[in-house]
Amino acid sequence: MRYFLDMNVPIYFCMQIGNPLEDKAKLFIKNKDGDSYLLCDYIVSRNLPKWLNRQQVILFEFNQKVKNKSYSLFSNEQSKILFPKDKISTERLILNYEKSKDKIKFIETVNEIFNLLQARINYFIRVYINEVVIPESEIDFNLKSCLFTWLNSNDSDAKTIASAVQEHNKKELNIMTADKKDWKKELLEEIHNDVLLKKKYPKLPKINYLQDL
Amino acid sequence: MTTFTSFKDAEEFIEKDKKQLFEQIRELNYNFKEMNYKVYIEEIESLAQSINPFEINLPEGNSSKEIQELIIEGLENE
Repeated sequence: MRYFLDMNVPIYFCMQIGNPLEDKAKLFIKNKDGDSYLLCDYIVSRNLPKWLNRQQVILFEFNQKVKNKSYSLFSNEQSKILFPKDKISTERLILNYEKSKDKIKFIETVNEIFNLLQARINYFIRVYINEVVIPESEIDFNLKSCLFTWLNSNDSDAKTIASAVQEHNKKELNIMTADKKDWKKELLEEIHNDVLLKKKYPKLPKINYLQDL
Repeated sequence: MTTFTSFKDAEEFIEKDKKQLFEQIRELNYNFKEMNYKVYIEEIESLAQSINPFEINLPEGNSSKEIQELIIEGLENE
């Protein structure tokens, strides 16, 4: 079977905390058994690099602050790419640092995790991904817009799911995600409430959840 | 930087009729240095490609767990 992976699958796979989803992602990827794994071009070329860049900026801000207490957080130009939730993560990271007993070890741990995570994700794409499908420029605008409406304006998910549907109509695939909240069968069925989209994309892919493995 | 500074310092002592030769020697030196660094960077890149980052364990302990959990929080909204 061809499995189309949501962005959260590689990220869980690269972690090492014993989180149940991390264990399931590892189990799923390692028990390949003739399956092939797909990512869409939007995730590989845009969404994952953007996420990784934001992680690097969080790391930069953390390092600046622990080196120099008077450093004003997010004063650097590059921190403009951070989302509000990233700023909260940075502040929580600094709070954890302040509470830690061994400060030097904490700094080393943060740097090792953030840097190794980047290397692991790039390695994951190189080694475990069989195909990168649907160039971002070929994402069907109407299909994406339809999904966007039902996804609380989540553009990333809309583009990723649109890519999955388009690829499934070329060659069968199953979706694998950990997002039970947004990636639902009912969402895909909305595509068939649009007559033109139903005609263009008569087949809808099955959604599998890491949680159910 | 050392090469750059050395040539800059030497420049004022070069006679006018030797300037062209001096510039040629300077350019040759810069090119040679640049080539060496390119080879060096390529070697590092190829070494980095050959390492499996999954063979290097992430740090263990509570701090490591907290930091990783912080990273995966909110993943579903990405």
